Amino acid sequence: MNRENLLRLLAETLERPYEEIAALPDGASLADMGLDSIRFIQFVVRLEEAEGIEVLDSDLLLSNFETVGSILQTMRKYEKPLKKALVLDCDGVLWRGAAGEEPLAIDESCAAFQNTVRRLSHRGVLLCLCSRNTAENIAEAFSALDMPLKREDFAAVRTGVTDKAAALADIAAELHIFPDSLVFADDSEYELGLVRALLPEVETVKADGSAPDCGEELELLFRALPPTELDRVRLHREQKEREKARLSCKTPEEYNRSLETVVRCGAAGEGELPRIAELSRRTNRCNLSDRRYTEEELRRLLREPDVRILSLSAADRYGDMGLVGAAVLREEGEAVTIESFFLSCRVFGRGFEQSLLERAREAAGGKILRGVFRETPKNRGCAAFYEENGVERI
Amino acid sequence: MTDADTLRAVAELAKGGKGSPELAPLLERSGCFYLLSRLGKTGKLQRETVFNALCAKERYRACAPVLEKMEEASIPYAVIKGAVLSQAAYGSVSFRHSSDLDLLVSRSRADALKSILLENGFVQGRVTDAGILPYSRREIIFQAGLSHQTAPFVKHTGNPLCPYVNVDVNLDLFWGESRRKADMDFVLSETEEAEVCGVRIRKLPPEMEFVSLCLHHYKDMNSLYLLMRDGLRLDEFCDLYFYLKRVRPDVPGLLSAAERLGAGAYLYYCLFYTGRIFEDPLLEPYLDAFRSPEGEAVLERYGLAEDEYARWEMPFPERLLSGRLPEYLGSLLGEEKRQKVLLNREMME
Repeated sequence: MNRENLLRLLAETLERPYEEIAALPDGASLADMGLDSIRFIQFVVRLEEAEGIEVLDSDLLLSNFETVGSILQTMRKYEKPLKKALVLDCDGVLWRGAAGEEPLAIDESCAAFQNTVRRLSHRGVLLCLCSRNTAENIAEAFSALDMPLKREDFAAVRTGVTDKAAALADIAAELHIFPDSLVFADDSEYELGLVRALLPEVETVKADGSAPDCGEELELLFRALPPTELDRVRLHREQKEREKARLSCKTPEEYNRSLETVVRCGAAGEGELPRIAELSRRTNRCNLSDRRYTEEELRRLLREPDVRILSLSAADRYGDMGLVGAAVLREEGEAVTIESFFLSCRVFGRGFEQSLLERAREAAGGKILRGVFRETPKNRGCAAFYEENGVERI
Repeated sequence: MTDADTLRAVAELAKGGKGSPELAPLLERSGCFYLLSRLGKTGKLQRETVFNALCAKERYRACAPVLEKMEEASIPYAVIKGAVLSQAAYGSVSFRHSSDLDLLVSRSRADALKSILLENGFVQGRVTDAGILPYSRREIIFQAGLSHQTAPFVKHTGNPLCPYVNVDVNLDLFWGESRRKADMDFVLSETEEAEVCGVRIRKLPPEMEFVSLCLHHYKDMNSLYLLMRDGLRLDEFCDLYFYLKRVRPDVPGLLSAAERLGAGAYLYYCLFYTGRIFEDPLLEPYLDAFRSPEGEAVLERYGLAEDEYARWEMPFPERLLSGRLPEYLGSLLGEEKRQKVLLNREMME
């Protein structure tokens, strides 16, 4: 559930300006803002319509809707995983015919489908291929056919595949994302059924030219993905180079030295806020409080005297990784609370998390530093991060 | 007969006395079929008891697969009120009119139970002349969010005498307006097997069953919406009295369960007014155990939420027997409370 959308619905229901509701602390009573029985019903109805969900009876308790914080907590389970990558079959999906066996053609529906996929790629969706056909046949088809998508548009490719469910899990691991971030498009009901049975968290789409709305369906599935200016295919390619280099190094230290990494970590500037907001919404594995921000919220936080936003950018000999981590700190009397701490999964484990935490410690001065950790099924691996680094976990 | 004479006659009849035939219209009107049976057979009594038994049987038959599925899924539950209560308090399912089967589950299991009910052909809806009309989403949200129950489930039976079966899913022993919520894991931690209308069910043990009964009846006796719809109901005092008389829940056990749930004052209220009607020494140990300043404080007021509490100005016998209570309360309501009652009416009926 997008916090901004939720606050807008709340403002609409309470007939108050959005800014007033957005400025409320998470624990403020909504009854004081006018959330009575009738407005509670109106709000839930609006929420359900806007999000396409049905709130469970077990959650329909007024006390779950008493504060912005309790609503966000209640709605957490209704969040659909953000879709980040589209995995495409080739024969019958990108073109008509089977590569290497028969003449191939790009008909009108193939071209329209590819144009949609290309648009998604420009919006930051990672494209991948997964085909039973051989690598040679697929490569030949890409060079022979004049079509919108090119072989280099794809971040991960699996060919000669016999088990597409296993191949999808493998692609997710390569991209450092969870399988529930994948959308899989294929023309074969068998393949789609296999993936639904073995990887039910992957969204499947029938794409064989017979379903005219398939492009629209894909657009809808990726609607929630925040637009980005990053070239994700390039970033992924660079990451693969780093991983290859890692294999040739004997120790992590040797590896880090070999990369000639440069880290910039400090107070975030106004211009970095869009990327920080995007990062907060995309990261799961290393997002310690699972807090998501909009640009507007970050802008407001930046103006608060007790709040500091830190950002971390990095580059190495394989390329500029850009802004890959951020933390929001709030000074509260004798303590400084890290309200949120998130790092791109591509770089987690390279020591950047320690750099960001060190910068937070410096920003805290001599004050007690504590960090909010809110466990989700995806960030469990980071549960001990604060304790292991001498920070009180709250 | 004066109101006081009527109450005396009811008490006499309840304790095994002959009773006055003049009580028959009141007992018929109030659905006190067990007391009515003590006056001798009337056509109305015969019709009602046969009908009650038949409907209870149909209801339990239709719900048996749901109860089995709940057992299979290890969902802790208890059947409360209705035929279970009638059997316990009056020794037969036929002496109490009931329109539904009430299931008590914790809120955390409400979704699983809902799935089972829907899989078994129930829908969340109300019965109209045109058949079952599904509740709107607003109505479902209202009931699950603001009351202690989800919107009722209903199923067509095919039996022309009892064409529909209703199931109420209760998620709390306290009413929706209450800030206090019952620890349902505790309430349902011990249930006992029983057989009702040939169907194996689970019910609460006597002490918890009586706490649950008191809280339900206290809610009916204090809800502005229900008082304005049904008045104060003699049959509910009969339920309490005959339950105590037949089942004799253990006093320390009752006290302990009520204290754990924070329900002592409400039990005292129910015991006190039951005692006012039936004047039976049987109630004394219960009253002695539950008498408290908090209990005394609730006796003279009505309403379920702090913002609606008001003091009774009408004497108890009159509010129980005169039939003027709904009209009287209507004349006292301010605009805000009237709107609240109207909202309840719109959503619940």
